[in-house]
Amino acid sequence: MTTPINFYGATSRLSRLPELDSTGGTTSSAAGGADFQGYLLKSLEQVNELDRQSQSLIAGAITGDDLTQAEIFTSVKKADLAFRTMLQIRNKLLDAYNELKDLKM
Amino acid sequence: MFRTLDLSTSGLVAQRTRMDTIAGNIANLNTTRDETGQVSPFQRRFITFLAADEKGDEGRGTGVKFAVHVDRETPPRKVVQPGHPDADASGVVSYPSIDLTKEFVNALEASRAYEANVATIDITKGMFSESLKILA
Amino acid sequence: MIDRLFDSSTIPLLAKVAAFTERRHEVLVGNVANASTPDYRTRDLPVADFKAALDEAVTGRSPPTSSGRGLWSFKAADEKASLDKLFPQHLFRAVEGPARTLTFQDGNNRNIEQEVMEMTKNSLMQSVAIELMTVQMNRLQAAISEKA
Repeated sequence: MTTPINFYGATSRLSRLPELDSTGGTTSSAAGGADFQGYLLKSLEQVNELDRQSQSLIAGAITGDDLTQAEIFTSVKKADLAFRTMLQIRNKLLDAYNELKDLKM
Repeated sequence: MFRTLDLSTSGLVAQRTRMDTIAGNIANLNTTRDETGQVSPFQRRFITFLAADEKGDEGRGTGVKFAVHVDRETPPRKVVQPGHPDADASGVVSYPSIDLTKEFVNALEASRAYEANVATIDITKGMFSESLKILA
Repeated sequence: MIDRLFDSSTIPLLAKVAAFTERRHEVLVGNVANASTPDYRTRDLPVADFKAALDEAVTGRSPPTSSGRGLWSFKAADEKASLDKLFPQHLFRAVEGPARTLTFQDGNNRNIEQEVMEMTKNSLMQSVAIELMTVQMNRLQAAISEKA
């Protein structure tokens, strides 16, 4: 899963951009950026956790552990949905970043 | 799910073996000699079932185990037939003590139970396909 | 964010229902396999207890709103623990089940037709749970990928 690595790069770049807020000055974006960044990183960790759970259940299914199909498949599907969500967020953020980058030119 | 299929299979095998023994009994209804040609009436085969409870499987479904036995205790059916080649000194022939009615009734029950096990396999397959929809 | 993804859906509950029906199916199959076993008593999962736990899970989690039952929600962090507490393991263990008929001469209290009927009802319940779950998953997927 190389996506989280690219994703981290995008968010960290974003959080260092000086933001123009409505008061007209450049606020110290560090606090707001770090919060958002931390928030996203926490979500990433949650995606990883769901993925870990699903991998362990899949391993259990293959080795014949005492699991129901419903549990295994739901875990896999949830990990899948969480990952897709993260992917979309990353794409949106990258798009936003690129837009801003072009604006500055 | 796969274990469930094993349980059904154990039921199928047990009932089919039961049918086999019944078929053998009916086929040998009047067999007065054994395979070596000796005068020895055929002895009825019967089957015993046992729930396949394994250690560590408490709380789950269990399959069935079976064993085939030869009935050596029931005395043969004696018929007075003085001219019969297999008659003994007093003109009595020993026939297998097989009750056709009983065998048919058992065969019916075995057949019904067999069909029920086949039905459970279909349901198992259906439930498995259904659960695959989660992944789609 | 991710941990709230499945919050307002009934997906975790439905997954438990589907798991219960799978376990129950195995037990009922065992009953049919032992249709001719002397002294075997039919087994089942504690269905009434499970239904009670389900009820508790739905109404106990949050109070009913004006439009009916409360929203099912909890955080993913404690989801597994909460679910495990609401649906303890003993609900998934077979016990000597309700006697579907009188005990026969050989000690067995089988009733093949009834077992197969319970099995069919059980499998329908599984279908319902899974279809409902799939609908919600698809909706989430559509929201995520912005495609219908």
